[in-house]
Amino acid sequence: MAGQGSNGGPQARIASGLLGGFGAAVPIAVGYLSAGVAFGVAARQAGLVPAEALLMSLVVYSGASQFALLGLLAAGASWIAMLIVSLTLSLRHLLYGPSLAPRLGDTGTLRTAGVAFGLNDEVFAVSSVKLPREGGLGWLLGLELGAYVSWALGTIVGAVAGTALIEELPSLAPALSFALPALFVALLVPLVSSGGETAGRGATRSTSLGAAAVAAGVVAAVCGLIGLGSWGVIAAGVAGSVCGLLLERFRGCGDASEG
Amino acid sequence: MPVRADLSALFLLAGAGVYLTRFLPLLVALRRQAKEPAAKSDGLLGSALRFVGPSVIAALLVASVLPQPGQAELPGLLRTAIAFVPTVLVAVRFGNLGLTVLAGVLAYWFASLLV
Repeated sequence: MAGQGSNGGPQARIASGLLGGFGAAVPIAVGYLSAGVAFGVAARQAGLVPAEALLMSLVVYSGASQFALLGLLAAGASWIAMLIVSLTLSLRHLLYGPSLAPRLGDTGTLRTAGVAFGLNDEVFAVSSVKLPREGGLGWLLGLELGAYVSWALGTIVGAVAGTALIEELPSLAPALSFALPALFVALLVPLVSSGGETAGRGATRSTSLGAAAVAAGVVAAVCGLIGLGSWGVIAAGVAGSVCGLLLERFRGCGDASEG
Repeated sequence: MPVRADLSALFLLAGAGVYLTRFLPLLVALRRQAKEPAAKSDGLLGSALRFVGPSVIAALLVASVLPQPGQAELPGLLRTAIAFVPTVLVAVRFGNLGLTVLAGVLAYWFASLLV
């Protein structure tokens, strides 16, 4: 385990980070509770009992894959087809680990195995902006725990009482579902406007980050409109990174030649 | 009612697939980093990885508001557009995650009363 903190040993730092990360999961939890309720309702409509809906959320723990599996189950698809679709929808996760690794430091295989379980879209989005350099592992585990608990809680509420809840408060579910887009806005705006802690130096980096985000957004929109789904996030991640990198290098050359 | 065994097996297999897409790239990146510490931030790959976060967040934002092909409906798009304005303003002004999410949810709820 790397380094001793000034306020205690590694275990104390992990425990402290865990609490911080759990608190940072509140914005995710708002969105996950509503999305979990929606999933629970859909699972009941697809013929699953509440325990099965909960098991699926606890074991698969991927909204996109879970909704797709429900649709395929209802359609009577083969297991092979369901597993391929689920795996395909998860390919976007391939980008997340390598992007976060530089800030996780020296992490053992067992801890890596533990922290990887909860590394989904929203956890990645929040941690790519907020993950502290000190005590990052505990913080990430806390963030993941908060997200996981809220997803499971939303699922069970949706499976047991979701239909009645939505009938009682029809405008609540769509309003809560806007929590995730709002979360992404909250993460993106400061990151792009400040140049981002992770991407460094002032206006050049800020412009490069902005260009990367715009390029990624355009690619994701085009992919979404033609129905490419999860592939769009991968394509957008690659396109945005290439665009940002090229612009940064180009502007860096310009700055150097001017200087 | 008990959980059906065949469904449990399906969930376990699907969950294993999802998990491996999260675990293996992280493990490989951490191992590579441990062998070559300079790879953390230097080099083409290290530089490109710094842009992955903002790019993926932008992509997830677009994907979360974009209607599914053939399922676009004007009121939903209008509500989203209306809710976006205060959400972005709060994000710019305060830069606080919780406050921005709260503003977004309230704005969408308010928009759903109007449209």
